[in-house]
Amino acid sequence: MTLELLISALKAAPGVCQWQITEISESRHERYLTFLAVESERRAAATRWNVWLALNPEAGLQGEAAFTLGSAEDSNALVERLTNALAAAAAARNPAWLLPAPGDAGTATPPTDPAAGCDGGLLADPVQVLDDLVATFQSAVPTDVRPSTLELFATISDRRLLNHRGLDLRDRNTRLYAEFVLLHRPVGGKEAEFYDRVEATRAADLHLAERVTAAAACVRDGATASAPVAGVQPVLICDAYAAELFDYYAHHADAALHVRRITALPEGHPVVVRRGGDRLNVTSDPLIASLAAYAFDPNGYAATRQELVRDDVLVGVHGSGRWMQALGRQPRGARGTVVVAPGVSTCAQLRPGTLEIIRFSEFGPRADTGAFSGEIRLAYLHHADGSRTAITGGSVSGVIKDALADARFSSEVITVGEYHGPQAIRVAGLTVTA
Amino acid sequence: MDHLIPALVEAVRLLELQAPYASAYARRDAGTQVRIDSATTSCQPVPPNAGVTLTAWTGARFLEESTDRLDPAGIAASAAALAERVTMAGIVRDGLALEPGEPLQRSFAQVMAEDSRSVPAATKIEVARALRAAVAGELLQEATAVVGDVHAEIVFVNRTRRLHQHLHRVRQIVLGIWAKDGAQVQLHGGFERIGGWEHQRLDGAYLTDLRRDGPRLIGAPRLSDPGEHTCVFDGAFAGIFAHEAFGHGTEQDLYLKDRSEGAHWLGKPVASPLVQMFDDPANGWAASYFFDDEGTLAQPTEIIHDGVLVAGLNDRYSHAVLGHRGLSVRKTANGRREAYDHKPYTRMTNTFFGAGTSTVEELIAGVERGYFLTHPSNGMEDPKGWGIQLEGAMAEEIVGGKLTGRVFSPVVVTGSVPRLLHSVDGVGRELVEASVGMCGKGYKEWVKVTDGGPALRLRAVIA
Repeated sequence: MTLELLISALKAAPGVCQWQITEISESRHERYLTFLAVESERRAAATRWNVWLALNPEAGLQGEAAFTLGSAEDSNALVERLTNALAAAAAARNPAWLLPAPGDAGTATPPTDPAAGCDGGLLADPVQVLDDLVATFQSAVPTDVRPSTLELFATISDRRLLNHRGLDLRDRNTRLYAEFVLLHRPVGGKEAEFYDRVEATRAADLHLAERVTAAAACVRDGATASAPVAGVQPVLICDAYAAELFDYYAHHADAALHVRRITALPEGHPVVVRRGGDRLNVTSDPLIASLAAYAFDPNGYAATRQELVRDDVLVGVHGSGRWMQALGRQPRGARGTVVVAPGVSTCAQLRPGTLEIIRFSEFGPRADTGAFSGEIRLAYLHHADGSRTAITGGSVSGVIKDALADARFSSEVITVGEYHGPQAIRVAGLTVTA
Repeated sequence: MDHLIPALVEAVRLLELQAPYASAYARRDAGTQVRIDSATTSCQPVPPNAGVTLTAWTGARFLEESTDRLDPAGIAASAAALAERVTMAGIVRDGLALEPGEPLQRSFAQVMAEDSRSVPAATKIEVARALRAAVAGELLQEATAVVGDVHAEIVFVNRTRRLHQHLHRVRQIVLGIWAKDGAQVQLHGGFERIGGWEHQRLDGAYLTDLRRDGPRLIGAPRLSDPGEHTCVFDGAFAGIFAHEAFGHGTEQDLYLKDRSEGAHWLGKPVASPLVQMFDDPANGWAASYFFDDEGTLAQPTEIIHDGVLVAGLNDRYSHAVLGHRGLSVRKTANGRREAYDHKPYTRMTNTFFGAGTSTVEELIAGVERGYFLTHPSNGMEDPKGWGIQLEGAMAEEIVGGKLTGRVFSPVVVTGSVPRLLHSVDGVGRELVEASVGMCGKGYKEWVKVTDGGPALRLRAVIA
């Protein structure tokens, strides 16, 4: 299979008035260690073409279909896949929308540096990058802690986006993923573990040594942690869990939910009933470095900063070309980094009296009600005198609209996953079970 | 992929000129997924995700090479590249030995009464439309219907085995959103079945449950009395409990990493004597197969017998290491990959509690004050600390042995796994398969699993 063959087939397909091809070539290096000995080393490479097509619209509706071809597939597979796609498109008619052309408002221009933001070392020698990360990990693990596992993935992916209107964009991305487990047994006690994982576009942004040091402290504290006291308590939600909470607002600002009238947050209305605390300001900004940053979105629209929540009110939505056009708006690029404005208090000012969550077993607010729960793997109860007690077990529960009503945000910001914003949220009262 | 077997055999032969053990795994996924909501309809083939992984064991580590080139020349090129890596890595002659298994050459196929691959796209879309209509009812604001069929063709080759299997299943899932006065609630249901299009009927009991419970949950508060209560888990909720408790808790690749407390409890009581638990990739539930991704034939594993932890689950490597350490561990068929180009880990398949003798009504009748937990959504394991987190959409109050109709949402169960299991004092007699699930290893490596069980009565901390 070749790209040229695919383009020719789409141009010749009867009734096809729009098409888009996304070519993705990916190579991955993986390394798995157990107690610092390599258990497995893997290499994988693949190329695929994701194809979307639409038939001539009638009465505002167009048939649509999509399929994927792999590089190992031959022209017979292409004919079969295309024939099936045309049949599926004839039966799947959706509101018509149009792919962008070069020069259209909001359309991306070819990046001057398609590899901007990539890890140069990874592009040059992925094996060396993994070697370096293993060495970093090894040297960061203290002697009183046992490194159980380390998994490292290094991925390079090249993307090319073409459509029937002449758009032709390319970019290159790198990703590093690390996950590790540390073990610690206190004298006369039971061994405990601490799990951590991190993903970034560059090895330096993993901050692996710092994370290992922090994890070592956590596994030591976790091994002697006690159960929480049940009741309603102030809780400090930090890092990735703060990102999860704020993601609720970005999710409900998706144009797709507004078109389908299933958003919990209507535009122009407050997203929280404010009792106190810091006002909420949320933007989608693919230009701010994170795992969600991009040069062009899946349909070729340019990365654009979009204001979603201003002073607690939903003032805008983000969305793909399809959904923004359905709302009658100019597409401005799909959702990017979720950026939340910080507060004025430092983490140190927010901590006293709170239960600071370091690890939940799992945490993800429900999209419908905003209710959330998490089993506490490790938390710290911060006392008035500045001391702290390690806590494990039990759970923390709440509902976002209540939790954010008087929440205060830290002035320190972090970038984690697809989020850039306050490192910590102080919630006045959440239900804690023992 | 029969035509690839000679090339895979040759690749294994080439690799074993140096490596003490080598194998080859080829896989091609296929199928269709139809999705319909109020705004869009899509009917798409499942991405083919086709390729080959060659594995070489050096005596100390695995080296693997994955390629999407599914042709003899591509396989030969990968084998040559991997052989070079083996040379570079070196061989440990007195290292751990991996057994290839008894010689076996066999082809398997799951049966489809109606081959879903030959059902026209228009027919599949009509079924999805009808499914979406079937959930319509009071206060339903939006419904998304998904119907699909999934097919996997898998070949495994090592120096003693040439195995080939065709796996077929269909799925049907509905996500409903019910709303009133600005409050909304989402609830989903569905099933997956081994077989063909004959299973795409629209009379699933789950549709009745969705139509009944969706409107009830709008605006439902969280529990007003969080803490320890007597609970009855319905069969699906019991299933997610089985999965997170001593599914993950008995994955023996975690034993090697000192990440599983279960390693110290084999042969010891971990649950009430009423509790039986199994993992069975051959029982015909939706995660069934004929052999795992390392060429081990599927067979059931009894994990808990009368409350005693009797066996764990393993892959080829963890079984070999534990044997090398002198532990008597039975080889199980639980070495699974997310896709052809992912590492194999020890993974569950169909994991469930054994049935008891009570009806659900009898279990509820024995509760003076407590909750009936249904509509499970997700969970998380903690094999080292033996903690657990289970979440569901609904807890219905029980007072005086009867359901009161008061519902709370959502509900989370936390606590100590053995404490929860030891507290089981009633086991239902009807075994329920919860078939739409997927499972991650930690937070990645997603594979198809099911879980299930009879209803259980136990003491649990809920909020």
